[in-house]
Amino acid sequence: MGDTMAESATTETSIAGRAIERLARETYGRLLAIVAARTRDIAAAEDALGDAFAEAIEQWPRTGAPQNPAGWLITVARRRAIDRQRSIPEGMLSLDDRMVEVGSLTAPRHAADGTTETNGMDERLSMLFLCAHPSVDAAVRMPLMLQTVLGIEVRRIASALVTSPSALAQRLVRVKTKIHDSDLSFAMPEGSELERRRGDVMACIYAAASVGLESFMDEALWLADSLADPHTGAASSDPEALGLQALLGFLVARRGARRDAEGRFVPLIAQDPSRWSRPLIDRSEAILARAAQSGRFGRFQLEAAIQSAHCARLRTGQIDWPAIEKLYQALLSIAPSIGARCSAAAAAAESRGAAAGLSILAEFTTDESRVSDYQPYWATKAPLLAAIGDREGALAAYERAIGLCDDGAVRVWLTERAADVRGGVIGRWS
Amino acid sequence: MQFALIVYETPQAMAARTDPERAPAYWASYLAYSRALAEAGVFAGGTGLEPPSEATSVCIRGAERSVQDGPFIETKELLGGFFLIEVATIDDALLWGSRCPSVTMGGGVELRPTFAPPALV
Repeated sequence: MGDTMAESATTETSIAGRAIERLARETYGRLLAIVAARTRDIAAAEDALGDAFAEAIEQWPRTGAPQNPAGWLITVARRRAIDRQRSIPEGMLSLDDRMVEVGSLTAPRHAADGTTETNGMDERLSMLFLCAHPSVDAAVRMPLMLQTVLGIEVRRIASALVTSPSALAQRLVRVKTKIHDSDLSFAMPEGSELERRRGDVMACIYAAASVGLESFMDEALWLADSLADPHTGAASSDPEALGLQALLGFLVARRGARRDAEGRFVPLIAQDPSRWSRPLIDRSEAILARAAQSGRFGRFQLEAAIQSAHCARLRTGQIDWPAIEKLYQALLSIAPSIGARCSAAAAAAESRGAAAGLSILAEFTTDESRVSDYQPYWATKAPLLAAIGDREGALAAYERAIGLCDDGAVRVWLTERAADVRGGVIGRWS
Repeated sequence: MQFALIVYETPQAMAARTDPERAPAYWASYLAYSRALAEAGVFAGGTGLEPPSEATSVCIRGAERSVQDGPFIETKELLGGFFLIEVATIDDALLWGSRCPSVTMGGGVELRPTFAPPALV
């Protein structure tokens, strides 16, 4: 009996906990922007909002969630901000300064005539664009975005970036001080500045998706969705914002299939398409098609098109490697990167044979230092060397890929492939 | 900057060293890791250590010297060895730390900057 009650209390607590977690994800950046907008003091607003969420976690499981959770949070945050200020000498800040229109927070953002209100763009987006402000050091933009827009803890961000949490925390404090001291505007940029900064916002979202062991892939997709949301008008007509949204959608759709039931690594071409998320793939296809109507292509649309071609296996059962290779070549011509070149080599090997793949990889040798520590380079090269009969070269490349690997399941998979080569198994391109 | 990359292993992971089933993969992963450190030019030294069961410790308790079988400090994770690495920044050291096999085998690594003793006056 006692156990049952404890269990049901735990269940209710966790339901409330999950609800708060979801609310935090959906509203954090917006609430923070509202609390911070007047004073332009992000750090103080974060403290106050942190207090409000802590209070919610403590109270809501007992009292039930309030009718207007976001309004409740901002009221409490405002009160906490004032409480905190009281311990500081008077006259530093006026109360009115902290007052914001709570009512506007959750009100529908549609005008009476049925058109969508776009002049008062979502505050969350203002925060997103502030993080990509030219005065904010480029290296700190993405972590600042994860922290202020999504409320992700510094400890988790630092872990994904493989950097020291205390050093990252200091960098974030410094940039917030700079934003406060130089009075950077929280208002959305306009015209050409909006265009330029939108590119920086997209670069940050893209970086957030690939950081660490893809810990923030869901968050990145959510940010891309927010950016392309037609109700905000921030980027809904930008084909590249749609391209980014589609790209991340395809990647998230396939994520669950990268490990089998035993937790073993499954490379993309060996994945069971029935384990991909069909609805998310369909949604991404539709978004990409809408982006393509503009006739203006960019790197994100190209990357999305590549992932779309892989996902087509769900319907056709086949992979159009020549098409994928062409898309990678186009991508390399506008956005060359070490990762794209490795993928282009793998696609060339699939469509034209191992030697074609190796010749693309050989283009790296002029700047070997860039690839010597890049794990995917060695993982791509190893099976191609095996396929042309260079057993020793293949084993050396596998060993390097294993030595540079930071994912246990991938390391096991590579070790098995190296054992295959040692045992005389030749690759698929022979 | 020079760092000691101190490798902690779970007892199960360390037992793989002598387990005929698991030993080949265990040694292959550490050999590959050591070679990758060397190829990148960051390897500056280090060694593996026999398990704590092979340790003998010396200290003085009260006025009496005490020599004990076993490690000086008992820990849940076992000190398996260390690498000395020469890198530009702590972030580079952490990057190499994240690639150490023990990290994905339930253990972990600790990075400590090394120092030269202060010059004697």
